[in-house]
Amino acid sequence: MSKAGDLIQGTLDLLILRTLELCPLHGVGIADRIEQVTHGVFIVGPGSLFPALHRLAERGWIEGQWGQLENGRRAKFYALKPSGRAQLAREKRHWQKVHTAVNQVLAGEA
Amino acid sequence: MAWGSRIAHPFRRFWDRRGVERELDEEVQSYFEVLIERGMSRGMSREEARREARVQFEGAEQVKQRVREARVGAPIDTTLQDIRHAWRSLKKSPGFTLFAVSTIALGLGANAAIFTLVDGVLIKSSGYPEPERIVQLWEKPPQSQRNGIAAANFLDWSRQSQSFDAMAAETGGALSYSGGGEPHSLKTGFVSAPYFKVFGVQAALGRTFASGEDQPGSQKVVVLTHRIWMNQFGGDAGTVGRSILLNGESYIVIGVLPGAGEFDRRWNDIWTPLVFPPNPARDYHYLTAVARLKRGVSLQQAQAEMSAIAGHIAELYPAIKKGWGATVDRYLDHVVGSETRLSLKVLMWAVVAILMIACANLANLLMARAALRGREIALRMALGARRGRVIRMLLTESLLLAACGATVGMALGLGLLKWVQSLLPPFYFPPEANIAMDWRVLLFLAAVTILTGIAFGLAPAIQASRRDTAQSLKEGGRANSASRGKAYARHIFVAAQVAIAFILLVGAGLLLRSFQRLMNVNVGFETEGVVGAGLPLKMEKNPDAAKLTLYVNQLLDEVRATHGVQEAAIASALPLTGWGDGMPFRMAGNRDKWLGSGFKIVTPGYFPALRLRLVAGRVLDQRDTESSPAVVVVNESFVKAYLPGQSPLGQRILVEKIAPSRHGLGPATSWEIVGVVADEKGNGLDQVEDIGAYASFAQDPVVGLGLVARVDGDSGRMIKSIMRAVRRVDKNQVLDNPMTMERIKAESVTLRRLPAVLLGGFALLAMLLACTGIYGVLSFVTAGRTQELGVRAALGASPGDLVRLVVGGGSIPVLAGIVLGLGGAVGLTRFIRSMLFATSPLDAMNLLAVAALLLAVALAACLAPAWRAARVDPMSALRQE
Repeated sequence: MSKAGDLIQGTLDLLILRTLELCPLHGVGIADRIEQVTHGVFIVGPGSLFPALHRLAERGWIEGQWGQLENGRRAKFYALKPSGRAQLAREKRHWQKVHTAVNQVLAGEA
Repeated sequence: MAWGSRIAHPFRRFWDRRGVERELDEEVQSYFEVLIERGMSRGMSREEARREARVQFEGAEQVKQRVREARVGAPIDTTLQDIRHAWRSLKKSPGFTLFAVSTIALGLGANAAIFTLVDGVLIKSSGYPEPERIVQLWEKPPQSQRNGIAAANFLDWSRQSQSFDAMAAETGGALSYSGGGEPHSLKTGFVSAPYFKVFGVQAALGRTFASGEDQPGSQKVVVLTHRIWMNQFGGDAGTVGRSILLNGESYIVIGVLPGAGEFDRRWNDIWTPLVFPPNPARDYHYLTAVARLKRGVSLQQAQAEMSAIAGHIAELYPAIKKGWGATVDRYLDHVVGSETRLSLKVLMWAVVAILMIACANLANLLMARAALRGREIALRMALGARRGRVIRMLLTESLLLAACGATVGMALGLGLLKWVQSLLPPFYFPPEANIAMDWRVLLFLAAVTILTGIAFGLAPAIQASRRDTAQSLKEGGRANSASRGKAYARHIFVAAQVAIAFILLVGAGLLLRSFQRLMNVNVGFETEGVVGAGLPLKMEKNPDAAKLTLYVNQLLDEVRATHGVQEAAIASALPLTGWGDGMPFRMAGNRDKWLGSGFKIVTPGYFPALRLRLVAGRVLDQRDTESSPAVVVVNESFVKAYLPGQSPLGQRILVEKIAPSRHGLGPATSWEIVGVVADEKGNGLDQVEDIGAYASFAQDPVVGLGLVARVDGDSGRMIKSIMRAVRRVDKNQVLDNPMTMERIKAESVTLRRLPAVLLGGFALLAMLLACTGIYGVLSFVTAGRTQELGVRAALGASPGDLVRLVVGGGSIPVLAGIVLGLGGAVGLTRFIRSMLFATSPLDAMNLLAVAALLLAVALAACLAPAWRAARVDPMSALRQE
C-alpha cells in the first residue's frame, strides 16, 4: 500500500484524468474510485487531491462545477474538458513508453 | 466561453480574493461532510464517522494552504498577501512605523544628498571624450612645481613639442557688451584657437575657432556659451554670423557651445581667440595651458619631452629662465582642489556614520518588535505556518518599512541637495562636476535600503521563528524577559551609536570652532562700509600709460564726487581676493638673493578707503607721480620676513615694473620703502603670513583693475550710485561683480563654512538618532521589567530608587560609548587637521563640551522611561503575572 505522496510525479494527474474520462465526479468520488480501481494500492488523501485538482483546473484540463449529490448535499463535480482529453492521451502514451522501458530494464536484470 | 474561463479562472483570485477563498472553503467543507456521510452509510455513528474523517483529513487549513501554493503565480499571490499583511500590521503600530520610517529616511536622505555631491564632483567620469588624454601644462620654477606660463615659452612649447594633438593657452578677462540695454561685462576666456580641440568639444551651432584665427590681424570672432546665448541673445539661431560690439569693437559670432555640459558650467560667458603681441614676454607668467596627448603617448613621455624643451629654453635665456622646467599634469586630477576633496570625503564618512546609527536604531527596533511579537509568531506556527513563511512575512514587513523610508529619504535627499547647492556660491565646484541625482544614486539607495531591511529584518525573524512554540505561548506577553545575550546586543548597539555620534560631534565642533575663529580673524582693515568691483577697461588690449592714468583719475574724481562716497581708489586686486601679482625681487643691498612678495598697485585713496593702519613712515600719496622717485609701502609681514630688526624706511628693493598691458615686465626699478602698514589679509583669512608691497598706480599704471570705495549708508544703493558715476565718464564703462567686503569675506571662506555647517547638522542628526535609540532601548527594557519594578516597589523601593535603577542601567552603555568615542575622536580627528584653522584636533574644550552635551542629552533620553518606571503601580504590575 502506498500513500499518494509516494506517487511518481505526474502519476496522480494521470490517475485523476483517467478517472474523470468516464464521468464527472466530486472529490470524494475521485478518491474512492482511484482506491477501488487500484485495489487499495493508492489512497489519495485531500492534502494531495485538492492541490492536484486545482492545478489541473488551472491548466484548463478539467472544470469544476457545483452540483448536488443524491442526498441533496452540494458538492463540486469535476469534469474532463476536451483539452484534458488530449492531455490524457498524451500522458497515456508517455506512461506506456516509461512502463515499457522500465519493464525492459527489469527483464534484463532477470 | 471555455477560453474565457481558462484565462479568467487562474487569476480571478487577484481581484476576487474573497470569492475564491469562500469557494475553496466551501469545497473543502463539502468534502469533509461527504466523507462523514459515507462513513455513516457504512454503519458508523456520526461521531465515529467524523473522527475517521478527521484522521484522514490532515487539517483543513493545511489542505487549503497547499491548494494556494499549487496555483499558478502562487509566489506573486503570497507576496501580495505578505505586503497586505505587512501593511496592516504596520498600520496597527503607527508609533513604531513612524519612528522606523523616519529613521531610515533621515539616514538615507543624508546619504543620497552627499553621495550625489561626491559622485558628481569626485566619481562621475568627465563628459569630455577620452578625458585621460587631456593634460594641464605648467612652467616649473626652480623652487616649486607649478607656475603660470609666459607667452614666449608657450609659443616655443607649442611649436617644438611632438607629444600633443593640440595645445592651447588660456587667460581670463572681461569684455563689455553694449548690445542690448545697459552695457555690462561678459566674462571672457581668451584662448588659443585649438582650445576646443583639446577638450574635444564641438559647437552645437556654427563652429569653434579655426586654426589661424588667433593670429594678429585676423577677423575678430567670438564663440558664445549656451547659457549666454539663451540669456542675452534669446536663443536665436540667427545670432551666429551676426557681428556684436565688445569693448566697442565688432566681433563676429561664429558659434554656440553645447548646453548642459562642462562649458555651460564654466566661469566664462564667451570665448575669443588669444592673440599674442609680436614680441611676447618670456618672464611674465600669466597664462595657463592645456593640451591633448597624441594617441599612444604616455604622460611620462610627454613630461620627458616638455622637460627637454623647457631645459633648452633655460639654456638659451639663463638670465631669466635658469633652473626653470615644465610640469605636465593629468587635467582631471587637478580640477578638484584637495580641500574640496577632503571636505567631501569627511562628509561622506559622516553620512555613512549616520546610516550606521540609523541601522543600529532600526535593528534595535525590529529586534524589540520581534520579541514583543514572539507570542503572535508562536501562534502562527502552532496554526501550521511553516518557518520559512513566517520569516518571509517578517522580512516583507521590514522591506516595506525600508521602501517607505527610502521614498521619504529620496525626497529629503533632494531637498538637502537643493539647500546645499543654494549655500554654495556659483562656480564653487569645477565645471567638470555634474551634480544631479542619477540612476546610480538611486541604485545605491535601493541597495542600501534592501540590505538594511534584510540585515535587520532577518536576524530577529529567524530568532523569533526558532523559539520553541509551546515555551513562547506559555511565556505569554513576557517574551521580552529577554535573554542576557539579546540585552547585551542592544546595549552594544547603544554604545556604538553614542560612540559614532560622539566622534561626529567632536569633528563638527572642531570645524565650527575653527570657522568661528576664522571669521574673527583681524583682516587688517575695516570691512564695514567698503564695496568693491572689477573694472574691465575698454583699452584692456592695448593700453597707453598716459591715457590709462587720465581715464582712471577721471573715474575716481567722478566716484569721489558722488554723494555718500567717503573715499574711492583703484587697486590691481580687491581686498581678500589675493594680491593680484606675486613678484620676485631682490633687496638693493643683496642682489644675489631672490625673494618674493605680493605686489599690489593702488591709488593713494586705497589706504584711507580701507583704513589700513599706518605703522611707520607714510602711505602713498599725491607726491608720488610718474616723474618722482619710485616708492613702495610694505606691510608688517614683509618687514618681519625680510628686514627683521632693521629699520625698513629708506631701504630699497629691485622689482621690474609691470607693463601697462600686463603682457610683460618693464624695466627693473629700484623702489624706496617709504612706509609700513598693518597686514591686510590679502590671500584670504586663513593665511598666517601675507607678505606684500604697494606701489603707486601713478608710477606703474596697468590694466586689470578693481574699484574700492568706502561709502555711507546702504551699500546696495551706493553700488548703484557708483555705477551711475562711472557711466557718466564713459557710458559703456561697466562694474564687474560689485560686492560688499562682508560678502567677499563670506565667499572667501565658503570652502570652510560648507563642511562646518553640514557636519554640524549631521552631528546633531546623529546625536538625535542615537538618543532616540537610547530612549527606545530603555523604554523596551523597562517595559519588560515592569513586574520586577512592581515587586521592588511593593517591597518598599521609592520612586527615586526606581528612577536611579533605570537611569543607572541606561547610562552604562552611554558612558561606554562616550569612552569609545573619545578614543575614536582622538584617532580620527587628525585626518581633518588640514581643514582646521588655528584649532588643535585635540582641543580639550571641544572634547569636554561634546562629552557634556552628549551625556546630558543621553540622560534626558533615559528619563522618560525611568519616569514611567517610577510610576509603576505594584498591584497592577503583579496582576499581569
